[in-house]
Amino acid sequence: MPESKRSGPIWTNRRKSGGRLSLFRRRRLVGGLLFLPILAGTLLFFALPFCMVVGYSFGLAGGQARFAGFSNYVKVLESEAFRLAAGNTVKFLALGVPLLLVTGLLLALLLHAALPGSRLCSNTILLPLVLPIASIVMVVEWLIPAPVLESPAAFWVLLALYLWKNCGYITVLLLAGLALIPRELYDTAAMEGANRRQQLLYITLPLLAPSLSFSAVLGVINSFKSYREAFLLGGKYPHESIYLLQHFLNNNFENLNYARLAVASVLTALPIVFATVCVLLYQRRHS
Amino acid sequence: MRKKVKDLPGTLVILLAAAAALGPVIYLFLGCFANPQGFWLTFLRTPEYLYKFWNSLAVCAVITAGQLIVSCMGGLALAKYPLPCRRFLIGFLVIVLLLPLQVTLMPSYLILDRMGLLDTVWALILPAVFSPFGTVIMWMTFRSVPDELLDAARMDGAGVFALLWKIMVPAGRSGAASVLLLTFVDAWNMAEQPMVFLRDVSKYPLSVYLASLDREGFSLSFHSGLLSMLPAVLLLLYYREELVQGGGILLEK
Repeated sequence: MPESKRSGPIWTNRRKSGGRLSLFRRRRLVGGLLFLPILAGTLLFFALPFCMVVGYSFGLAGGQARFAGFSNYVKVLESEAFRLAAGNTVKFLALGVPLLLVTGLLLALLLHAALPGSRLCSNTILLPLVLPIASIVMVVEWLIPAPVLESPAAFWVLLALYLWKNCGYITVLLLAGLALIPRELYDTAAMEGANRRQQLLYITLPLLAPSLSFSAVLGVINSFKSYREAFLLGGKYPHESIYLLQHFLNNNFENLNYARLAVASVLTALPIVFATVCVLLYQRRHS
Repeated sequence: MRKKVKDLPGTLVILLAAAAALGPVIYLFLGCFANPQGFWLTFLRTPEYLYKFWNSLAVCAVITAGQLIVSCMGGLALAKYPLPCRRFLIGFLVIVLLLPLQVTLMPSYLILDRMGLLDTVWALILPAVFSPFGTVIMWMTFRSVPDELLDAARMDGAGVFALLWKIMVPAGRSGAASVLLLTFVDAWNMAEQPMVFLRDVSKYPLSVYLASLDREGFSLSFHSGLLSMLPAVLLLLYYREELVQGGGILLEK
């Protein structure tokens, strides 16, 4: 490769070497050009801002730029508000995503069994996904008395909203996955004396694993979007049980606390980056 | 008979789920028809509302179209072209996808300010167009399209864009429809971005405007809520089949 690089622009090179190599290079160039818009866009609107956030968190940018070391981090980690927000967010994720997968799987299995009412259910189950949040909040405010939203129960209301809203798409995803599992596998297993529970554990779940892991990713993404509902229900300072990291970030942004905001952003992103890298490395080793 | 009894709990769960999904829609309908003159008040007496409706629709259409184009290109590159450090690029996109919006809110604000886009609709459109969501979905979709299809088209002398629009997108219709629907719904419901990137409240899209209707406008918000749910529901009905098939693509590798 380095030799061909030195031998001049791609078009002359192509004529000289001919054959497979030039085709490969041409493909790579075309692929690169196709990928360019999304790469440039994510770098400009997501990666560059993130690098700036890291800079701010160490006091390297902004009004009086002075390296602050980890002092900003210590302050944020000591703050009550941040701990509350981080705790609530972790609790929401840890409960929400598994619950979402379990309800989605349960509904998908029931719908797959074509019980009476499945048609009605599979036709309506995606509706919550497309309802405008403002209308949903209107319905919630009608259904649930205001004092409940100002009590620790607000957390469970938010969790229920998240499940209600996202369960439909997860069910549809898993249902499509179930339809692709060959029936013969179950027949063979049944002949060999496997009961329903064993069939679920040893056939359905392993074969559904890609759908389930994709559903989990969607569940995490959408759990962060629950902030919209929390905000519309409780405003900037909701009951402390639904005070999420996003409230903390937004409020610090509005109060111009940039250093606190930057540190909290980095602390929010770190576990996500770490977990994603671990999962990808794990998948790489096992594929 | 025994089978029917055994099915009963399952059926109840299914019907419960259907009721939970349908309930709020029915509530909105009932609220509207309990007060029919509200239709007139919302849609004719307050042109502001209709103006916002069409405005938001245009913004969402631009976001969705842009996101689809960018995602199809990026997804094709990841699925069928020999990109250097492909795994790294995919990992990068997934991480960006998982980060909550608020993490990069402040620097995004500064960058959009530097670009002179703050307080314009482009501040809402551009970051949404370049969300990596669609690229990841289209990558998963396109990688299940057989290579032979591409090679045959290349033999016929199809250029890259002919390949993309005439072969890949029709073959990956279900994935593209999922991207279209989910992007549109997300854009239609956006809340955080307008509140931060737009200072001029009159430019707020429908989603935030609806939420800002106060108690006084409560009966009116039934009607505006009903109308604002229409575009997304129509899209859902239109693309339902593709969306359902799209779920299966993830398994075929």
